[in-house]
Amino acid sequence: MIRLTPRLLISTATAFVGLGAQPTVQTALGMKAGQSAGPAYNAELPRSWDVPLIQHCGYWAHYDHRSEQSAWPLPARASAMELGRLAAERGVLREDAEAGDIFLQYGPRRKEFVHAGIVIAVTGKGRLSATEPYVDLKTVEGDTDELGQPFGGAARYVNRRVWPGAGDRFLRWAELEDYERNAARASFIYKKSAGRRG
Amino acid sequence: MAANSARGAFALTGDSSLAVAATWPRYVRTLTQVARRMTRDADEQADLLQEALVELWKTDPTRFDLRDPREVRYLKRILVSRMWRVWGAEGGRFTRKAEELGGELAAHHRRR
Repeated sequence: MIRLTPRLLISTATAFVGLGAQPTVQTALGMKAGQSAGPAYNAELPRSWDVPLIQHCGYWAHYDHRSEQSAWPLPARASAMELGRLAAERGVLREDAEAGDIFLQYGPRRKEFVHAGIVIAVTGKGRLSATEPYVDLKTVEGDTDELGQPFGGAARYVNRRVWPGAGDRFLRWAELEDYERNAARASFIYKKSAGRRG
Repeated sequence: MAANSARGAFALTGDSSLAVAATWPRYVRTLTQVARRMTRDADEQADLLQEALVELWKTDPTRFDLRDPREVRYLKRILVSRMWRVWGAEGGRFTRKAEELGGELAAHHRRR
């Protein structure tokens, strides 16, 4: 299995920048969806294809052709909100950004994460006030327009200033590898101690 | 060649700060009317609009799907309530009330 590597996701996502129309991307996703264990996006394409683009890039960036399996840890067809929930459950939802993280944008009206992208680079950090830090990011986002607004119909680079106070978070998916390992270890230790008690 | 690549880079790059400039004209007319209802003073109206613009920048319009009327209304509410908050915090509301009651009372309020 390929180790979870943010650099792999970044380079794969970068290759998608400039795919301008949804049918083009759908075709690209469909080409892969027919293969082996690839996630079948076309059957149930969500309203926006921001998260499917991340899933597609992540899945195929970590696909091992010998074992015909992908090490990508996130479930196919999850929405931005579901990714946030999963990240919170597994302790990988962060307020600070690193290159390769999945950026989750908070929607104040719906009170949930409404949009997602891939952090390509952290270009700056600072403070809006004594209590409000911010971070400047360059991201790759699917279904976005030239202003960084959702449903824009293209995969683009977006420059964003993000502050945790607004509810935005980062999913550090690369740490899910450690999570799986630690969960297996914890389960082993638990069984061992349960055996001793028994 | 350089010009082409620069144009290409722009076409492929979004900038969420530009979204503020693109969204502001959508709201400015309504917000101007709200500011006029709050105060007759042109400077105060301009200050209130400035506050709403800063709030729009802080809120970040890219968080909203502005094709959805509910999202459009929600964002408008955020901007209007920011203007009311500032107006209230600066005592403008009370000044106006005092002015409605009479010149002497308004002068007393201003002295305070």
